[in-house]
Amino acid sequence: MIRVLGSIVRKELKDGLRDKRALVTWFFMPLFFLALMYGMVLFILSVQEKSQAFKLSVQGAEYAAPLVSWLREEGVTVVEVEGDPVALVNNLEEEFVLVIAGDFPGKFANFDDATLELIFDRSRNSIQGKVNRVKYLIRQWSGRIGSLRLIARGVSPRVANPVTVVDVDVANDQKLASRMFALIPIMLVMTIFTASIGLSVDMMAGEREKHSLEPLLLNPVSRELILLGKWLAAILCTAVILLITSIAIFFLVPTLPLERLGLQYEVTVLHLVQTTLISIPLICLATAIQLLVSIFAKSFKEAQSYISLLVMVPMLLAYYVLFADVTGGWQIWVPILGPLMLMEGIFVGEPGSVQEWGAAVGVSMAAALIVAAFLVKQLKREKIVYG
Amino acid sequence: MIEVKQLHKRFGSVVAVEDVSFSIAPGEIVGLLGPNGAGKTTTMRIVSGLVMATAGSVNVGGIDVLVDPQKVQAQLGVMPDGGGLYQRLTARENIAYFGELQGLSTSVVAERIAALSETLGMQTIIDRRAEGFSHGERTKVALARALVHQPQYVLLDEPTNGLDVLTTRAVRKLLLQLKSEGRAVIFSSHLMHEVNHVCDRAIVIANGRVAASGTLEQLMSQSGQPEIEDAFVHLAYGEGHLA
Repeated sequence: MIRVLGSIVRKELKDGLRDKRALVTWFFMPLFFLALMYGMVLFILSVQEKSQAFKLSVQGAEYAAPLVSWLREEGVTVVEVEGDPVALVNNLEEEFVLVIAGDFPGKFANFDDATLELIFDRSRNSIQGKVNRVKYLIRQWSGRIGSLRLIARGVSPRVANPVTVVDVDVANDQKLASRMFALIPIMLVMTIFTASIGLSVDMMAGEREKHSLEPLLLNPVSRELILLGKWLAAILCTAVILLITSIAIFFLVPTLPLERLGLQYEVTVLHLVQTTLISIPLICLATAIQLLVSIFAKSFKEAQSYISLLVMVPMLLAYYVLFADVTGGWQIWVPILGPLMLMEGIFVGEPGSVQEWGAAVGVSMAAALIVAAFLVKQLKREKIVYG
Repeated sequence: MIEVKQLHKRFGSVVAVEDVSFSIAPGEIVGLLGPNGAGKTTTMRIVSGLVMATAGSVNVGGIDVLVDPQKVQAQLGVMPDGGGLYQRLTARENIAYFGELQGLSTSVVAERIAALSETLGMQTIIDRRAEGFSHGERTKVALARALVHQPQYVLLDEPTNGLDVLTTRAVRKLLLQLKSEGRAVIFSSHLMHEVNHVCDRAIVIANGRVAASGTLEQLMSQSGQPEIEDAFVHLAYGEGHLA
């Protein structure tokens, strides 16, 4: 019996590996997510680096050396420009120009009303942010100078500044980047649910479509064994692809330029072992569901359209876990949802209790077996074999 | 012996088989004749244990198909209508897979494939993938697949349907070889002259019932028609359809 089972698994995998069309779907999800993750890190980096390279065109920089050096300290690249500043802005050669007049040092030294001109075109919306930043920086500098002058006269700067607004920016890049790692469990779950779609569909709907199910069932092999063979083939296929994906994550994450984001993140061997364990019931359930759905379809195409709808379920559940921030509670007893919660927990350093693991693994495994039993029942229906 | 007794099969309100009985002895080739939709395929599926009869019994080599369908299937070699090869497997892999499912060892499978490939003239296609096969090539592979475990009873559904002359002859040769080895063969056809060449006797099925049975001579005298085709039309469709 074991030998016959081995024959079935071998045949299905061999057949599946030769199906070039389905082979693409084997690796689509993991590749897509890995590219997405890498792309996100690079995008965040480029946004951050662009914001640091803030360029300011100045005329007459020599008249206000303290201001210019302060701007440079704040990370602004100060560039000297020649020519009529109004023309430069009008001709779109410059976005805006800060003009420091020749009388600035004199007025500044005499506590007179020293003015700077910022030349820009208000109709150009794209530069408003930058203009505001320049104004903000200059105002800040001005405020500091003012404070120093008050101190020099023995007056507390607070007299002039009764209220201060302190900026607390919560939307920092680091936070965004750490969010990205919540993608890892979603990626793993999607891999589990999509990896063997092509194979499962071909083993069921494909077998019906090509009329090979009838000759197959003419062999003295029980339907249970045939189904077990097909199921094992799908499980093996998913497991191998999941393993490749996990290993890819394991080696990819350290190559991400995370330190440039001031971020630390490690994927350890323990993470891998824990996710592998929690993946087993998920793989069994996912493949059983795929087989069940495809047995009802009369053609490859029909089955694929059913399954692509079905894939939404684990994806929505994964987002639910990610954003609803569920811990404990009844959710652990729901098939798919329970293992998903544990997987999410593993990556945020809360691996869950033994009871939770038992519940999640047990329920999903039991669900997989129920689906499999239902499958066998379907395979015994004459309508499925000949319909 | 294959013994079929008072077989009935209903699909909902449609009656596919209504009171079919026959028996076939070892070393006999029997043609199951009938128009399209007469109930030939359904009868064969019941015999091979894939479809459950509504009433009646099937006994193959002393085993009731209802009691132990798998034991019956181990003795049966069935080629269903439509072939159903795995397109991405080679001819050899297709045949070997079924041999393994029948419980044969790898070495026995290899021997049988070599022999069958010789008999059916498949040497040039044996290691090619089935996806590009012609109808005749597919039929040969399906036939070899059904015979790889050397079954005592062979059921072939329309085996010569749409084959060219040479392939048809190869199939006939194989049938006669099976007969000489003492195996029982049933093959269905909707063409009377197909039966003429190899069959010891024929069973004519029409509207789910056995309309006539016997040797070709008996059938012809029973129908009172001098031509084989006329005899068949007369027996299967009734007198009104004679040209």
